[in-house]
Amino acid sequence: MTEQSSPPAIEPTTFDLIIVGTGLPESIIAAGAASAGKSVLHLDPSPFYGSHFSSLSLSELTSFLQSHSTASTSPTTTTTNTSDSDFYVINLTTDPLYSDVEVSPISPDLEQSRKFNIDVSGPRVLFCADSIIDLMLKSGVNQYLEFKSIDASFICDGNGNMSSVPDSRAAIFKDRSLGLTEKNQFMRFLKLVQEHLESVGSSDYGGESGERMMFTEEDLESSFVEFLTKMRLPPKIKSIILYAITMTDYDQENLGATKVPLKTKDGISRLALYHSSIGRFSNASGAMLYPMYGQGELSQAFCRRAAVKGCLYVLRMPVVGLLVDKGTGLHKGIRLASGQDLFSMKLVLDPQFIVPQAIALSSPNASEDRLPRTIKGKVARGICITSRSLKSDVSNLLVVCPPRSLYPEQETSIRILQIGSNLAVCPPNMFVLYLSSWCDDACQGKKLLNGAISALLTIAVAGRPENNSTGNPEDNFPAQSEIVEDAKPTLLWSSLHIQEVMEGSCESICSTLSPDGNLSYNDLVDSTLKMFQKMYPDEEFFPETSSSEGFDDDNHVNFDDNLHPNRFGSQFFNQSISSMVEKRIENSKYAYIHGDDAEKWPPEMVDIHHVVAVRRNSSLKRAIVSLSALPLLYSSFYLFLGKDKSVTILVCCFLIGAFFVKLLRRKLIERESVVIIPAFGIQLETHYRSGRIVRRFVPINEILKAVLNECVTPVTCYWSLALILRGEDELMLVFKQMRLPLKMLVPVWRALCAAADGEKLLRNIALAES
Amino acid sequence: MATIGHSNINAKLVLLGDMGAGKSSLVLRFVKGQFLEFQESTIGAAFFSQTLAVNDATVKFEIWDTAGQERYHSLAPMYYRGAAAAIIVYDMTNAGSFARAKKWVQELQKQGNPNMVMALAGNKVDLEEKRSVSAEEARSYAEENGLFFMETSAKTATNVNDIFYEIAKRLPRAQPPQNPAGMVLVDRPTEAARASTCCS
Repeated sequence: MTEQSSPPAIEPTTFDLIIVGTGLPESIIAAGAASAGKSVLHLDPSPFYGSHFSSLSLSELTSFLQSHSTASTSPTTTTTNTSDSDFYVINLTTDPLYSDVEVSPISPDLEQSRKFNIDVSGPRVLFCADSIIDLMLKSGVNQYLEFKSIDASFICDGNGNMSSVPDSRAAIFKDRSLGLTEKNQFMRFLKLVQEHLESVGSSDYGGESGERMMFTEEDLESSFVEFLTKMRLPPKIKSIILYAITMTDYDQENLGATKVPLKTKDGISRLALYHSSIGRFSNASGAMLYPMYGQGELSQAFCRRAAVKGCLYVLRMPVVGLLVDKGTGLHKGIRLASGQDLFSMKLVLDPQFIVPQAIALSSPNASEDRLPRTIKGKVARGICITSRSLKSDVSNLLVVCPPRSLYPEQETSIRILQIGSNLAVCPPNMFVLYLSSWCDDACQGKKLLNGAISALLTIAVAGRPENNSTGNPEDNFPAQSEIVEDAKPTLLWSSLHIQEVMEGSCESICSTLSPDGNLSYNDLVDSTLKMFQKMYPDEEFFPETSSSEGFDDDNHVNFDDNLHPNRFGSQFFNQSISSMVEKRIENSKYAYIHGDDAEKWPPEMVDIHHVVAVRRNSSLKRAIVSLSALPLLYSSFYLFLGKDKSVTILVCCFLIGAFFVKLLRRKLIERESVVIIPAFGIQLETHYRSGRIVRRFVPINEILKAVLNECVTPVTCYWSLALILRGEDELMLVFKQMRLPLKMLVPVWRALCAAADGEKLLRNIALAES
Repeated sequence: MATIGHSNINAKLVLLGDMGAGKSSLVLRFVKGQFLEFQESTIGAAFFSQTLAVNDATVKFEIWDTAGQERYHSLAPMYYRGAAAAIIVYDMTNAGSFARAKKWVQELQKQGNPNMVMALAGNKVDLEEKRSVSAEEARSYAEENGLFFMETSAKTATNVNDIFYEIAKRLPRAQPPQNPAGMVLVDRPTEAARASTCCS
């Protein structure tokens, strides 16, 4: 409701816990405490939920940032004595969390700003295997929320060129920018990591500890970048792993003295988080999720959960003072802007409030000093609105600019998250970009953000409307066609600010932590849970199971949870099948060769079967065939053009011609290959003489069975090898063009069966385990 | 939002109104057939679903109760999002609650989806002797603002099912969802779904 002349008095006046600020950490604590049966009052001075984690309209965002970038002017005397009671009041002051706010004016086109839901502290996404997902499932908050996946992630260079990040095995396999050797090294590295995790996992589950540990303790304690170098990964892959998968913030190879490098064990656990995120929910295509209507929904959902459990909510209610007990000097309650005093034993405050040292350390004399807050650093955040996507075919995407990719002094990586209107954060045909990077000061931070913005976007010249069909003079693309296709999106609106990242603290008054510079919620949620444990050591966080509200979800599109402890394990390359298969079989037409490029692809990684069309005599044959075809064609045309007497002859001639053409075409195949990658997929390649290569990829779990068919036609009888695929009506022929003898098909069939069965076996094991 | 699938309509329905107007009692009567004389302020359950069969379709209501967040006018925007229907409840023995119901209607017209079906329910009609809002006044207000009006009693079950049936009938049959729906996370250690993990 809008106008409210005098705020109503809050009843009751005594609570177990009062929380000021509805940011995500506060909301999680509220939900946890309310579920544990505490009486909780949750206040927010703003008219909306979410505080520093809210999603706002453009005008709300502008005023929020500006009002939180100036310190509250507090009366000089910080204490007020109330004569006839046993407590006195300390005025509560705030510290601005934001500084150097630079917001461009809202143009009339964007005036319909009600349609925007802009995150105050983006970019932030949820990894599917993140702890916040577990928390939402456990607390039942998932009922209130809908998500979509971030469809793609890219790594960006100084010119704004974006290449996609091969973040799954399929993506590595299909990636065009990586060479075979690089793919091989990348896959081999992932396999090693996976074996390591398996061995660690097995020792965790009561196996002999550390016996099979793949990486030594020394390796794990060393820096991740050194480790990657030691694994002989090329720089390109190293950069992908460091900045686009493990989301490292600082340049690892050129760290300043003050920065601590990422340790291998942390790098590996981040890698594992990323990989177990892929495919956790079978209808989320990538590793990352984003909530519909923006991240502010998360706070709202936890608040609703708290309200359902009895937490009392009051928005638009500023808190002006703290009540301090005269006797003990301890915190006793709060004074609202309405003048009402409310009492509670415990108090949680938004990070912007300054907790007076007096109460925190319970010494009534030192009331002037503030409690030193741990400031972790500064994050530069930018928000941009464009009318076109960075990539024409994807609307929700992540871009990482690794350190020193934009300019040599760039020490940190910059992450850019683009969210489109299908997540209901902006009007149709618009896109919101969130940028962030750690920085030492405002100047450096702005430089980082502006560097990324100018690399990715076109900054519109004032007064000139954006026109997609004409090239922009700033673009240095040579050809007109390229300009039309690749012109960068034009910046319509932007906002830049610097935010201080503060750690939470929990003494007699708890201060929650401010949004951090990470992409995920992991650290935030973990420290919030720790804070809750400290406040209520005896309470379990969300004890009962979630489905208490009786809301069944059968009509929704659901994300199904596929996660189980060894998923990461079962998905990688597990067995080698190649050793006992015959190496070479030959007949007059074809030669079957097994795994001849093992130096490129080690045998335990892939299993390759080639069938090569034998070239013997082929050129001679072709010449004869062509020559004999010529007179036929000639005569047929002669007949046709000359006197249209006999249609039958004409038809016959064409049929014969077609037959020869077919013969020729068949001969044009050079070879067909079957590349089997255990636990991953099968690639079928057809190499044509002309140099054209047709590749078909079949994921291993699509294959139900490989079958050998005897095909009988009126004239011939031959064998074919086919795959039965999940959800396909027709068989898929392995060798599309060639008719091979049985003795060549059998070894390929065996290998295919072994691969498919291996996968099934693994799946059964996984099932049995779960 | 109302989504169509095999003439099944899924509709989110929100309840609005003053504290103590009887929102939760209405829902409890409709969903469970219960009535408690001294219903506590809404705690513990704020989510019900109930399926109704109307002439040509089945309508599954997902009913969101305010969970007490309306008490200090602190309802989250999340509450209104995608709602296909709303019941604004007032207590007909309390003129103030009718006045505030009008404000809720304004709030809904501002926040909610324009095609929303809105119903005005004058609750506690069993307390006829204490009436302070006349049915005529409420009906004419409802007509002016495009709502339909009924006087209900959760205690005697008067008009409770009727108001939900009336909403179900009025729900647009082929309303395209306002926004492409996202996906809901479900904690289901699945067997079947594991198949599609590799290239997802």
